[in-house]
Amino acid sequence: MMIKKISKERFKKLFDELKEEYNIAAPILKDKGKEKILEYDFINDFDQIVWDRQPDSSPKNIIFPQNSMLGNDYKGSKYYDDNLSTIIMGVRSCDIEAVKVFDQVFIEDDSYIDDSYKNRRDKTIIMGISCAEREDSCFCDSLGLDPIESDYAPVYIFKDEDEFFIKIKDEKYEDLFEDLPKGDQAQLKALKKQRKEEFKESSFTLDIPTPLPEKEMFEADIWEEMTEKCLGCGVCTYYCPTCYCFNFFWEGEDGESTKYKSWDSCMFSSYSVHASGHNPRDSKGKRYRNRIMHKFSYHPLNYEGLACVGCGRCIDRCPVNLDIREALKMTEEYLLEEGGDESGKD
Amino acid sequence: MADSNEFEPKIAAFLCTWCSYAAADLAGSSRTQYPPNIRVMRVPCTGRLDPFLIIKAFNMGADGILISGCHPGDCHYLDGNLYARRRFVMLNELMQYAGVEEERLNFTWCSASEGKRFAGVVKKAVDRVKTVGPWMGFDGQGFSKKEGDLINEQL
Amino acid sequence: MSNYDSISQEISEIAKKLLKESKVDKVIGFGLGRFTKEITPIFIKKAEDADRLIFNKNCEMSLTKYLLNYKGEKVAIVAKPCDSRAINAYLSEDLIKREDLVIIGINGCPGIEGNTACEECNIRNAVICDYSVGQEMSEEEIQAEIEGFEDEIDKMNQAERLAYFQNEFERCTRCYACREACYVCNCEQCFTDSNKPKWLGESVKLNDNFTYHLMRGIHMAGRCVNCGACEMACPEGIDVRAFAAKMCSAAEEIFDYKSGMDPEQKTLLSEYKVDDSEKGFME
Repeated sequence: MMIKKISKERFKKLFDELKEEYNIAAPILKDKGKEKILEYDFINDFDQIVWDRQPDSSPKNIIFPQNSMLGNDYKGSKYYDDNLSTIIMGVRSCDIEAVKVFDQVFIEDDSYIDDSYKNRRDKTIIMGISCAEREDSCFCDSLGLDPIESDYAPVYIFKDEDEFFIKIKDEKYEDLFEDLPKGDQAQLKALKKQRKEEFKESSFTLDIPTPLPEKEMFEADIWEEMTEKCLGCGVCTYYCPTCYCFNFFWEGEDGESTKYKSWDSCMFSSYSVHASGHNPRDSKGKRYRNRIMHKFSYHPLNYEGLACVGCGRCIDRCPVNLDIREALKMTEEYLLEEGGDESGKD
Repeated sequence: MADSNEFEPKIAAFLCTWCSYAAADLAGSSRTQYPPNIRVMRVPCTGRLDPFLIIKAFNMGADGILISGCHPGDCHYLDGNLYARRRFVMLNELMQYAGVEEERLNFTWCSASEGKRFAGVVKKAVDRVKTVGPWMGFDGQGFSKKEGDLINEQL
Repeated sequence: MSNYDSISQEISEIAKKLLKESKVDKVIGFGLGRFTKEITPIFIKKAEDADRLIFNKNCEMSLTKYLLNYKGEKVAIVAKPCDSRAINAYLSEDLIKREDLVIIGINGCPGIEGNTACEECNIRNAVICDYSVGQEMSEEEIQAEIEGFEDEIDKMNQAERLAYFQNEFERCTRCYACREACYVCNCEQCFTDSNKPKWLGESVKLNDNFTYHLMRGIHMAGRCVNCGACEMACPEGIDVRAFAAKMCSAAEEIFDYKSGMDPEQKTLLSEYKVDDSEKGFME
């Protein structure tokens, strides 16, 4: 394990060296109509990177593109070269744990390994970044995650004003950062302790058994009330870093057809429609129940850990501000009353 | 007759059975010449035309459209074309707002006895579309379909 | 223009009264979430919760759409002027019953922050309501508010318009939030899910995105009330309101038609007049 400490200028120099041999993706501000959104994209200018707040979307699109033509993989932007490996710089704990969920599902399950995901993932190096403060919709620590440092990333950045600690945990990547000046371990420890203080206060505490009890929650009557305001638009699933449902379709042109793969969403009303026309999840409550149970019951039953990382993007992006924290609280209250009466709260 | 280098637009024509299609037929049997650029689709009445069909025609490579029905008041189904009239005005507004040139959208009324007039209408429509060049699609990428092979699928 | 706080106050009082007297089963309005300071639609069943109802500059959602879920129940709904038009439109299309509704209409609506539809709104007072809150705005006051408003897109030429929309729809991820938020869109099977005929592809290519918005726009002809819920719902900040709003203004200019002003009104395209305009037709 190595610890380095560098100034912003030195980091820029490192960036310019790395970009010769790697594709680099990092959070940058992009114009989206009237707003500026902070998203991950491939870049070649270090100064564009925004370090100080949680990006509005996770780097999911880098390792699991929204649209790809099979046989003709995602080309990305002009700063992307398919032959090079990719470094994603500045990934927060929540998004790192989300990559862990993807790895569990797509490459660690012995029964099936997804080649297109594996090819992309094997060439991707994640550089995590430690969070400095809690944002309004963040609740990763209520789910047992550590916003200061996640174990799953091989390299970690700790930003301290205008200087950066870089902690290299995997010796595979040590030579990338060899020339950098050493950092003091005690200093880093003090910074981490200081950060921990920032995260002490939380307006949201949760006490639920995980995995959630399957049968009891399936038959609970709280789901319809929880989703009264849901529009069924699916935006939460698009921005969720752990959601991975996808769909294949074929588009025909000129006597040929091409196979495409794209994101799908369990919140769409026709997601579970059978060929016979029957739809087992024909109400919003049932679909939302499926979503929560997947993240808090089915995934931990089959793999290790939850499939929700508490990043809060679904809360930020939802057009009606449906809050998963309220849903979880209703679940907690329901279980506390032992499958009892209505909670009457929104 | 046509200069092989000149742009020959492909125009999707929707003609109502009872008036405009008969007019086209009359133009033909009277040997009145008109440009061969239109691909005719016969519908029972212009009231049947869903605006989606027009949008789909543009997506399949049509450079322009021509819609012709009975004169208002003369519709075989009494008022089909009166409903269609409002629909076309709104569609026209929307398409122009979206950036489709107004010359590509041609709406008219043509009765069954107006064979010569029909030929004139077609010529006018073709000339209008010629002035704005080929339609490159809503994404500006053009179409890969082979020349002269417009609509083979069912609409 | 009314003031947000006084509107909130009045709404809470009316809701409390309605629930205490059991006049309604539910009140649909706006309130704060439990763990966030964001506005969210709330559904109040008990009189003591009525204090949670507020109205502020972030109440961008159109609550009318939820009425379709409560057929047969008596509900009260907080309606901005645009929402009240939507309610009229639902009544005229027989989707909900008047006797099941208690409408709390907002007069002199101060508008929603960031909603471009509010900049051109010439309604500002509820067009149908059982109770009204806020102060009614007069015609002169309304004209003064929207004076100087110009549609930027109208001023562009054809090529610029196409380029503008191409730029906007590049970002579309086809999440259909616009469709779900819109009160008009309530078809059991949307045209996007239609297989025979297949109107548009499933991919997220620009052509399909453009086609989707164009087709949705034409469905809005004569029905859009220009509430801006679609634009506010879009997570990518795309100008999805443009086409629908154009249909709204074209209907007003060419056919002197405004949707949702009267519960007995017929929709624009289900009627005709013998002397209708033939704007854009060939001679």
